[in-house]
Amino acid sequence: MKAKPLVPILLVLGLVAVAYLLLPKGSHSFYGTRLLNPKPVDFVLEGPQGPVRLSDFQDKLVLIFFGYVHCPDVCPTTLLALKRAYEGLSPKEQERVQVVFISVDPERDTPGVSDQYAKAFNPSFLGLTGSPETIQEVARTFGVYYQKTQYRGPGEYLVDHTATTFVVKEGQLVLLFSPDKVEETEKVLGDLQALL
Amino acid sequence: MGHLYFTCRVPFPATAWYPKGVKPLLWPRSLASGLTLVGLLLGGAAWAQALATPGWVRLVPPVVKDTAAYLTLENRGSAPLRLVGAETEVAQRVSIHMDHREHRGGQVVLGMRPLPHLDIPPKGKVEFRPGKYHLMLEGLRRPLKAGEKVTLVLKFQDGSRLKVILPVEMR
Repeated sequence: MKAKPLVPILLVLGLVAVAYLLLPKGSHSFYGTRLLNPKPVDFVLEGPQGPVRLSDFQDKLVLIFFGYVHCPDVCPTTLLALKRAYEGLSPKEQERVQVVFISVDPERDTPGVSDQYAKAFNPSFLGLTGSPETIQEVARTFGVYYQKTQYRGPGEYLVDHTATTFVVKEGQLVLLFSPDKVEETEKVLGDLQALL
Repeated sequence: MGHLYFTCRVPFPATAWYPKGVKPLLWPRSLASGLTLVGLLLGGAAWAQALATPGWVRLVPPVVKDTAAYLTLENRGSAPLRLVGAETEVAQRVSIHMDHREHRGGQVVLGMRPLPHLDIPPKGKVEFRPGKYHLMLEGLRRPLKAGEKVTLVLKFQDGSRLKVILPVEMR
């Protein structure tokens, strides 16, 4: 009678052990927000040397951040985080990753300015923009919101914008990093390496 | 790092020792605490005392004409301290900004909003750091270089000023 309570305990322990053994080994648990239904995405925007199509990077992991150049706090914070993550990859891995900055302020940021801005963080980064209509369309594709605020005059305003980093693999939007998550360089690196 | 910058607002009799214009902007720590002691002895009137712990000025790409300055501002005094602005030789204007955060379509939308002033309660402190507050240096007169020192003069409503020297860093 005294030994009886041991049986169910052993049974539970046994089940836990079996469950543990059944866990898929080596599967990566993503830190960023994984899209269960990856969304096909594409665009054509203006780069410093002419039009750039997202599908040009079909064989690369593309990290996309929407922002604007006259943004000294939010945008550099994320772009510096992307720089840290990118520079944490091996040169071989870097060849398969492209960081893209898209300006949602085409009025002030020409493709040249957007690209110079992006390249100041890492020379391999790419800065793009497009006509207000194209930007609007691309933003809608990614679910990006942007809105001018504090308008003081032409060329003098601030822009609120979605500060998510979007990860595209083989033409599909697969992973998102919120502005808070993107700062965790080690975890972002882990996610990128799992996708590579 | 490790430099602290003080203003020292002491009750009337003590401030009267310093003619206007002669009053140094930067008090050495020992002098500041000495004067605080004088202030205490002179009557216990409420005053505000600002203490700044330097952060940095963000190095931005040369195409950008605005940048942000970060530091921690502490009020060691017993009266509220109101920051009303700042100035620096390197930019046309300095404004106080608070980050603005909202959620749209399940995602975080960020922006910033200018503040006319910022209050630091007695014994309280305000951190200027990415995602919170920053001093926006608008209209840079020249591109800044990594490692250079930028002097910023913080202006308070009570007329006191505090000089802070911040390094330019890419972070």
